[in-house]
Amino acid sequence: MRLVRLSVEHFGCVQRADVEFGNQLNVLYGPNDLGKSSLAAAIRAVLLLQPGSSAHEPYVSWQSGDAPEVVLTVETERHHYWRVHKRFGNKAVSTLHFSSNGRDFHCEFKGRQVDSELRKQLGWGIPEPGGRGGPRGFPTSFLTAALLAEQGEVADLFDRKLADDPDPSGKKLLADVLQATARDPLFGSIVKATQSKVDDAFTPTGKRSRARTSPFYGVAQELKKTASELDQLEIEAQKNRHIDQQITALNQQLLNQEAARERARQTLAGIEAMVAKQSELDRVRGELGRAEELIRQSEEAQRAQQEQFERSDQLKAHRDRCQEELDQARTALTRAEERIEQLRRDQREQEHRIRQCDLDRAELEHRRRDADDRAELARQVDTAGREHDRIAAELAALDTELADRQGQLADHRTTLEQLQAERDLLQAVDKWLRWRDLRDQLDKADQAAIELVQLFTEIEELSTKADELAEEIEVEVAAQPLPSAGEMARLRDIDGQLRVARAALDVGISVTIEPVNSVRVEVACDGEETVDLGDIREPRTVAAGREMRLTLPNLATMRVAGGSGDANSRYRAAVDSWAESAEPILSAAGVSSLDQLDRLFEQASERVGEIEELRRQVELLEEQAESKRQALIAVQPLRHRANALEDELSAHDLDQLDARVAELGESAASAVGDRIAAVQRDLDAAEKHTLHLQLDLAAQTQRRASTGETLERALERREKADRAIARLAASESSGVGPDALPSWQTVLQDAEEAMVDCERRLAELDEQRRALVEGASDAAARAELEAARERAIEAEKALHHAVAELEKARDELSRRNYDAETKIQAVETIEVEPLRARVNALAGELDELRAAHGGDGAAVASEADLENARALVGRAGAEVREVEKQLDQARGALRETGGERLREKLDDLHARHRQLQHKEQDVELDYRAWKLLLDALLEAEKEQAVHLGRSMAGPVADRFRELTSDRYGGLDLGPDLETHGIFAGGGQRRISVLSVGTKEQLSTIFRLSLAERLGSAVLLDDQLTQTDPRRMDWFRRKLREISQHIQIIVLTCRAGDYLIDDELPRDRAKLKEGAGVRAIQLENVISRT
Amino acid sequence: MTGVEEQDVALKLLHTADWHLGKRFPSFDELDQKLLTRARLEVIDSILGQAQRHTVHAVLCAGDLFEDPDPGREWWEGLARRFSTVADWPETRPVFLLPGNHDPLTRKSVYWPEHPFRRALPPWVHVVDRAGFEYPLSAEAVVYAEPCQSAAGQDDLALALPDREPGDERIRIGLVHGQTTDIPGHQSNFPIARDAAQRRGLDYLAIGDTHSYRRVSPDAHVPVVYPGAPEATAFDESDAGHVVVVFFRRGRRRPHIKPIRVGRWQWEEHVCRDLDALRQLAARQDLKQRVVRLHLDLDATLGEKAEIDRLERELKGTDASPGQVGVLVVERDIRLDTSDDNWLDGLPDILVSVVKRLKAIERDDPDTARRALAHLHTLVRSRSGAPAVTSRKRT
Repeated sequence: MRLVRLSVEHFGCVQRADVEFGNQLNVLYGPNDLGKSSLAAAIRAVLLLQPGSSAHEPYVSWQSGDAPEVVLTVETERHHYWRVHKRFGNKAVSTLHFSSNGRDFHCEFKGRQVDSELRKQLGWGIPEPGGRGGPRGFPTSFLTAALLAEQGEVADLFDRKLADDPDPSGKKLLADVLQATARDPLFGSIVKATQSKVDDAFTPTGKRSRARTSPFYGVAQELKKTASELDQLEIEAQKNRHIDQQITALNQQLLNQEAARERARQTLAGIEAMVAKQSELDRVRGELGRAEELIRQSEEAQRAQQEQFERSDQLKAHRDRCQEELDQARTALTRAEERIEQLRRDQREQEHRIRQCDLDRAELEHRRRDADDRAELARQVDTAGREHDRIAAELAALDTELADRQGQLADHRTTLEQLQAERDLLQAVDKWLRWRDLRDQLDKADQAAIELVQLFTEIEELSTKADELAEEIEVEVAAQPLPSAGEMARLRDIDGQLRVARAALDVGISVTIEPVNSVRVEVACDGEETVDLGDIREPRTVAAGREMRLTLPNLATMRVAGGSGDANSRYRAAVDSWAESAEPILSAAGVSSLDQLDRLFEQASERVGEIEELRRQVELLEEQAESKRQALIAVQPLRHRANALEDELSAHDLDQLDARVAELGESAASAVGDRIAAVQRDLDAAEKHTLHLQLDLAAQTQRRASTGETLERALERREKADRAIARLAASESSGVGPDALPSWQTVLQDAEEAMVDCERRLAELDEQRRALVEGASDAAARAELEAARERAIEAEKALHHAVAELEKARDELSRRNYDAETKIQAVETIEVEPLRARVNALAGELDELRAAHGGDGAAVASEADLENARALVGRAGAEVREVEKQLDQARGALRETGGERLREKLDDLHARHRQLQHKEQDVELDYRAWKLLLDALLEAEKEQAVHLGRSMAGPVADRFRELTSDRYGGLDLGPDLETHGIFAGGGQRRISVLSVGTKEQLSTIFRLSLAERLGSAVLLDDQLTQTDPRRMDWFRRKLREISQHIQIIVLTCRAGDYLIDDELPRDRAKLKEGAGVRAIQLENVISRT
Repeated sequence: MTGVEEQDVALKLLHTADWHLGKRFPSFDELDQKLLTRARLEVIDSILGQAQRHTVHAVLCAGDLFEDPDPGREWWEGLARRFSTVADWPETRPVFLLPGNHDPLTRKSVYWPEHPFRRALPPWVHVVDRAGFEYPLSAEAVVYAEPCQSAAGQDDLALALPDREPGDERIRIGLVHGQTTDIPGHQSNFPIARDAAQRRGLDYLAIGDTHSYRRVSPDAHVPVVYPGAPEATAFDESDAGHVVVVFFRRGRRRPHIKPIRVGRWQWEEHVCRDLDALRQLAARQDLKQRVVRLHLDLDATLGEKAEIDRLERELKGTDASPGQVGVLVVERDIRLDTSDDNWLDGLPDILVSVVKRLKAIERDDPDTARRALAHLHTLVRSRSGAPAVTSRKRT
């Protein structure tokens, strides 16, 4: 921080003062009682004292009693100017303005916020006002004592420590600053480099950075990509390996199958050989058999020929005997025929008698049939009567059962009607309950409809409000157009360029004017007002930051600009660009700076936010309204349903329903449902039973009708039989009245008696006829005749047979003779022994084959064996072809998958993947190490920096040693910068033992060192009054040296202690600017009361 | 020509294979990948130059000329351009391009008759784009070729070549791609029977697939030759980088075979087990055309590690300066010895305390702590001037 300008009014003895401070050493001098300490107090007051505090009272104008008023402009950091304005007292005023260029200020804070902000920005260990523990009166702290020490409290710093500050901000500020500034350059450089490495790889929270610039990103991405490619290739390679394995397995399988096929083929060949051999053997055996058979047949034929000779002889003898027998039979036959002729004549007489007997018998047969018919008729009458009686009884029983069933049916119908009535009532109750439920829902829906209307009204109001606000903003925007986001970005860009360009010029300019003759010079630095330096005769140096205009009236004006030509060109270009692009926009928006434009944007943004909030509310309400509207639409079908229920319930007594509902209790809805279900179940059961009864009744009725019909038919049969009896009786006793007609029992009895009589007479007649027949024939003659005939016939047959046999025997003999001759001739050509030898040889060969093929030597290779062997060969061949087919498919698949090429690619990728994994591990280790190193560096530094005294003691001691020519050693400072003592004469001494002068010198060095560390201005209010000239010289040099880094403001009544003559302003000049030194003659600045 | 008089030569052939145009080298840095990938195309100029120099009658390219069947326009276009722009190439000198298992003849391959690559080729470049390919080079010589038509196969393409007809006295050249069955550890892909050339009555069987130059059965009556890849593709290809020129003398069946180096890059591997070995490697001046895989398997103090890093930078090169080695791949297995504290002399106390902290951590997490110490050592060294390398204390 540095002070830029101080304006004071009515402050103690000072009526008015206006001081502009230089950037480096400012020596404000004047005689005693001029008001120097008032100016120092004004600085302290404007920075530290709340305007309403009573602590301002000592500063009230001595003369007028007016409220003291101070305006102080400070630059806290580059391009950050703050102007504090305070009027103390009852009409306290407090404002804090900000400017980025030191000229154009705008108010940022007012009232109590001013001190709050100031204390926050200064960080001097003073809490914000108003809070608990907040300071009353004039607040002080370690740093206010160091930087703004009052004149008489020069050694007060040695009695303070940071821990006593009311707020820890002072200690924190110092810790931060000392930590940064206390760094060894090498250490700092290492920390910076390490931090940079860590920042590359980790987020501020210590997590691994995922940014593209992260060292992990590239290798991780590459690894991911490689892994992905590898996965894809692995899948293909897996397929490849699988196919390879498949091919290997199939190759092996093929070999196995081919071997099996070969074995099967060999087996088949063996069996075929055996079969062939067997066939050959069979054939030869057949030949042998046939030869042997021929020999046997030949022998047999010769035997048969001999037998046939013998048989022919026998048959000749037999024929002769048959001829003799025939002759005898023919003689007997002739005799029998003669006797038979006599008998035939007697027989014709007997036959006449027999025909008479047959006529009698026919008459008796007729009578017996007639009696039989009557008996049957009588039995039918009896049967029909009994049947009629049985059916009548059955019909009576059916009538009784039918009446009983009809009674049961009537009872069930009554129950059924009762259940239906109960069910109808319960259904009405159910509808009633549903109607009441629907009614409740509809009432709620009506209420929702009302709410919906209210919501629409509310939506309308909010929409209108939002539209009005939008219109207002449109009007405002039209009146005060704001730049677009693009223009805004452009403005910021130009502003940034301008700042950068201006900063590039701010390199510091020092111009020394060495006049030959007295010359009047006017100077204007860094765009500030022109200062008249008056006539100068001696060399004079004028310094500025970035530009300077030196005017030699009537002679020349010289413009000196800092920075390179390029930097100046860029600055001018930036200024032109600002004027050309930015200023019209700012002007159109009615503002003069980007900050004001930002505030306008913020305001507009807030208004837009309000509109958006309203619109959001509207959307919310619209969503609610839509929800309710959908609910109302959903309710509409319920209204129709309720109306339908009302119509259905119109026929019911609602009081009765209510009463029934009351009976059902609170859970009527569920109870009525259960009850309806129960009644319905009963009703279903009753209806089912009734149906059964009805069916049963119908069946009974049907059965009764059928029985009635049967009864009628029985009655008809009985009447019909009765009528037949009557007709029969009437035909037998014509002229007899109906009353005299016989009963069916009498008829039956008569008929049975007549039948018995007829039977007896028939038997007699048959006996008579048989006697006639027997008497009319001569059985013996006939038998004799018959026997003679039969004998003749038999004899003739025997003769014929014997002749035929003889002929046949002759033929057979002839055939056998030929056969025997033929076979004898055939046998004569046959050689049996070679055939037997061949059979034996073939059998041996066959046995050998069987043995060769594992047979038992006895088994015969059958056709089935041959077929099995052929089938085995066929199956083996099919299996080989199947494996070959699979092998072809696998090879085909391998051709597609890439084979060797794929393996090569996979190997390449695996190598790359391993390499990347190694690299990733290495990068991880590398950056883990960087992080570990940074942690170790910062921990070491933190450990060192916590002890603030160690950081400060060194520089203070060095300077003090230099000042005192090594008389004193190091300053013993505690962690909170409390002073424990100083090392001198080989031991530690208390500060109190030092002389006043030495104490104030040590204090000043300490304060300067602190200010230097903080980069802050320091106020020295005439605090080296007890210092001897030699040490004062040292201080004068040291102040100039230190003021190159910080602003030092010295208030003194002895200008010569700090300034050389040339540095003093002439006569009535307010100030004189030298090389880094601004001398301000307070007599020309302060107006006293 | 060694021992072979020009006028006595009946037939001269240049036999090459396995160009693998379009092959990627994922294990290398991006720039090195490009270098090695481009080298495949650049070596074609040398091959064609050798053909010109030896005035061969034909050039036989025995498969795997492209890494993939359709490797991308830049590769086939680049090859076609090289053929088209080669100077003074006689129309009568045919070049035969044979599809191999990497670039089999399929509908999607560059060799397919409809592919634009085919239209871009000059008329003297012949693609073996059908089975039973036959090309009479002259009345005395004929080329028979069978292309690979898939990436993998079990057919012996050499045995698919026709037999020598009775009375056929021409020089019969076979051209196929595949693996002779005597390569240990390899599953045969497109196997080639050892006696296939003899069985088919060939005088020379030009084959491709193996990347090192190799004569299969050197004493066999009919030479069967792998010329190898003209530029190596891996470190285990011991004798890559050649083409073969085949000379047939009049009246003699058995040709003279001469391998000729055409490759630019030589691949080699080094394992350095101490700093001296690395220093010796760094001192070599012949590494510009080498592809080197360097395995650092050694113990090193922090000071030695700094030197190792420096030597590695010199070998590899930086963004600002080229390295001594053409292409370098480094595998590090450096075990740091942090016991040497000499480098701490003169360091600020705070840095010494940092070193102590890291050494305390070294007990629990040695790798990270040692690497952190190495980082610190490097930073200190770079900011305070390079201290002398302190050798590791040897016991």
